[in-house]
Amino acid sequence: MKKRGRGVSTVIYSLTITNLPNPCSANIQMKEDGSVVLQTGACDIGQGSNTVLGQMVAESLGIPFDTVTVYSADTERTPFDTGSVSSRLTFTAGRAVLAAVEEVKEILFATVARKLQVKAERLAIGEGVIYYLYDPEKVMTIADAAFEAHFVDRRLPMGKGEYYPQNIPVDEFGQGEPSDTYYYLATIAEVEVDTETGVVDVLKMYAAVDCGRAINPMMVEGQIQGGAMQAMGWALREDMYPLCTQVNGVHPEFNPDFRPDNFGDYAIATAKDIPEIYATWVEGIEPEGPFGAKAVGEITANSGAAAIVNAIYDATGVRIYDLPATPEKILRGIKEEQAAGSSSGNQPR
Amino acid sequence: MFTMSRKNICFCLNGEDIEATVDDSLTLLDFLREKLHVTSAKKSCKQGDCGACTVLLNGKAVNACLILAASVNRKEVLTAEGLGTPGNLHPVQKAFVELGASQCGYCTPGFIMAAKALLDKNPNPTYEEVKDGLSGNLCRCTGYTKPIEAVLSAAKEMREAGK
Amino acid sequence: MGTYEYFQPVTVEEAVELADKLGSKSLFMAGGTDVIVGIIEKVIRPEYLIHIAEIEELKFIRLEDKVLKIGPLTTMAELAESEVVREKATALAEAARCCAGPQVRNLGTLGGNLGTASPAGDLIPPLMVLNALIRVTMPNGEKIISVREFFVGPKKNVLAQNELISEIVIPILPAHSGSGFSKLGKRKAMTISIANAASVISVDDNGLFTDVRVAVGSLCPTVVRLEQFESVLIGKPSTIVEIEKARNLVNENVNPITDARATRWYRNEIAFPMVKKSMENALGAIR
Repeated sequence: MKKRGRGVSTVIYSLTITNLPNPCSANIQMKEDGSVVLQTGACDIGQGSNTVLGQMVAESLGIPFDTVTVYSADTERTPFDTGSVSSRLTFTAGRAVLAAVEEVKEILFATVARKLQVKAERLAIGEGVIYYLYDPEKVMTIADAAFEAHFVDRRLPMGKGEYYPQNIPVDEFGQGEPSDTYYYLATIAEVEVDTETGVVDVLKMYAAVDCGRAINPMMVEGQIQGGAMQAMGWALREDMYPLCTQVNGVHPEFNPDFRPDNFGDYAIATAKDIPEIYATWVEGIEPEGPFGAKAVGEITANSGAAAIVNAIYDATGVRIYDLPATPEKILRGIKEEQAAGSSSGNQPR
Repeated sequence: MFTMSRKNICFCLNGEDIEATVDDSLTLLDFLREKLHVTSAKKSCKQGDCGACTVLLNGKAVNACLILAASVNRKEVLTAEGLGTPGNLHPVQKAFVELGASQCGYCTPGFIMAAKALLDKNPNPTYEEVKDGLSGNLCRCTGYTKPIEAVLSAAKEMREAGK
Repeated sequence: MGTYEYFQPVTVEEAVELADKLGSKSLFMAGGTDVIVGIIEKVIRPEYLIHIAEIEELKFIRLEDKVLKIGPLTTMAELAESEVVREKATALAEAARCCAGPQVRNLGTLGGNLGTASPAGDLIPPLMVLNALIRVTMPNGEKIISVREFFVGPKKNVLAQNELISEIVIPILPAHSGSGFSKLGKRKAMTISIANAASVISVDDNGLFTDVRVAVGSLCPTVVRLEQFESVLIGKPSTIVEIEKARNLVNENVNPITDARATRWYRNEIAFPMVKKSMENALGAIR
């Protein structure tokens, strides 16, 4: 028999390393043709920080994205960053990058102000030009401004930025401000449980992140999808201590020889195992964040498992407190429920 | 003292004929990466469990870590380098880039070669058939959804272009 | 990655002569999906590797009047895609379709599955219920072994090191018969079976069982036929209700172990559900 159930879970997450200084820095140089090189210690491990930081540079300087070159994570050639940990990169590296951008803008605006005979405070930048707010016809292209800055004003448009997240530790009552801001994830999982084998099929996962501004929506969606799959693995299959059964906290079957040491035994999901994943996001704009952004990548794996386990309870009445919720644990729970003669699970809605 | 026995092979790699002498126990994967510096196929699990080393051997997707270099004599091997170049990407490669189907990128060449093998055989696969065709490739980052969409998108583009 | 000398014979005769000459430190390799892994894990250490994958005469699928003849180098992919195999030996095609993943299926072979002789080998239960015969070429002749006598223990078959499987012969099922397969693993692809089962079912005009054959894997040291279970169903209506009534005869005849993939308890629990599923598939395939 197959039984279906739904479960929900939410999680709140802090950004940055909350109890240690964790600075980030960035150097920007605009070349004489208006293209830009960004050097940052921020390490792109595949989550896309190179892309996002490049986008921030391009957006804030009004230049095309493909004229920005990003060099990152080279301890000999790029300035310091603490690491791609603790959901910190978009926020801290973004803030460092924007600080560096301000210095570049100041130099460019000084050039344009001189050239157009206007006050620098009344200038704005965007779409390839620097323009006078009170008369948008008075423009200078960014490339021209960069060239003039180099060879007429003799100020190279370069900038240096750094950012230290706050680390106000919590007191003995747990009160404090350890994180600049927080972000959130909610997941709903729909499962189908085979009551003869205990095997769980995750049919659908709905996941929503409050990531602040979604700097790159396609990548945000990719993170949510990847996180959902990882959560499913933790919930159902991935296990460095296989065969531990949920018997009053004792693990009678654990045998160190059974520890997985290859990708066949440590069974992450394959393409055939994934549910339909519906990913969405809420832009809770964070005033302190670069362009209002917070974070997305790390949180995405962190409520799916609870949602799935709640869904298993909804379907079968079996509570699992000890991941992964293997077919054996679920089957044992189902048998106990049957023996107790209870009719829980799959309550009419 | 045991002296490693060696074999002469002549085979076609990405359209180019290659002659070499290889140790009997050298895998195709090690041969590609270490001797020929063709590194798109990744050395991950080394035992056929992950698909990161997928290449096409006479048009069929296989794990290069399970193939002995000595056995590819007179055969054709295709890797991601032979499928397209940065200036001239194959539709599958282009779709992976444009649809965000690659995050850390480690599994991507394997996925692309598995997709190529699938589309060569089945130019109009269903969603389930794509899942099946990619089921030998593990990915941790993407959750498979965008790679599947990229393959479907590339299939559509290839059908429309009559390629 | 191990040190051995590599040979690539192109005929059966050449392969068998080589194995005979090189002796006990030589090993046949077909697709390599088990042998290469075994060498990497240092579980097997051949000094001579005889790679038979280029022997064209071992690659065929031939439907004759009363039998289906399959060459041992037929890959899992070829078995899964062959219309002839899907129609005449459905359980075998289904099993091949859910082995591993596409890359391994392009390399793994029917003969290799027999050679590795794993109790979890997915192609073995279908061969068991189809009453397959295995032709073996030796240095000085041939012999035919029933698949039921082919295995003697986990990863142990009856072949000597200089004997090569040259053909698998499957008798065609009579009319009103069907075969089916089921598999349970940790995930839906790239997984070794925690338990698997294959069935052949034949019925008469009244829908009564005239023949029932069931084989299970990963539940005993080798793949086994459940003869007690089979015989009690003959003459009964071919319904799930009747199959359920005989469920104890499944559990009484399996003896699973606990290993890294599952406990003995769990395997006992799923033994009958797997048998039932394979029989449902067989019933659905009756022609």
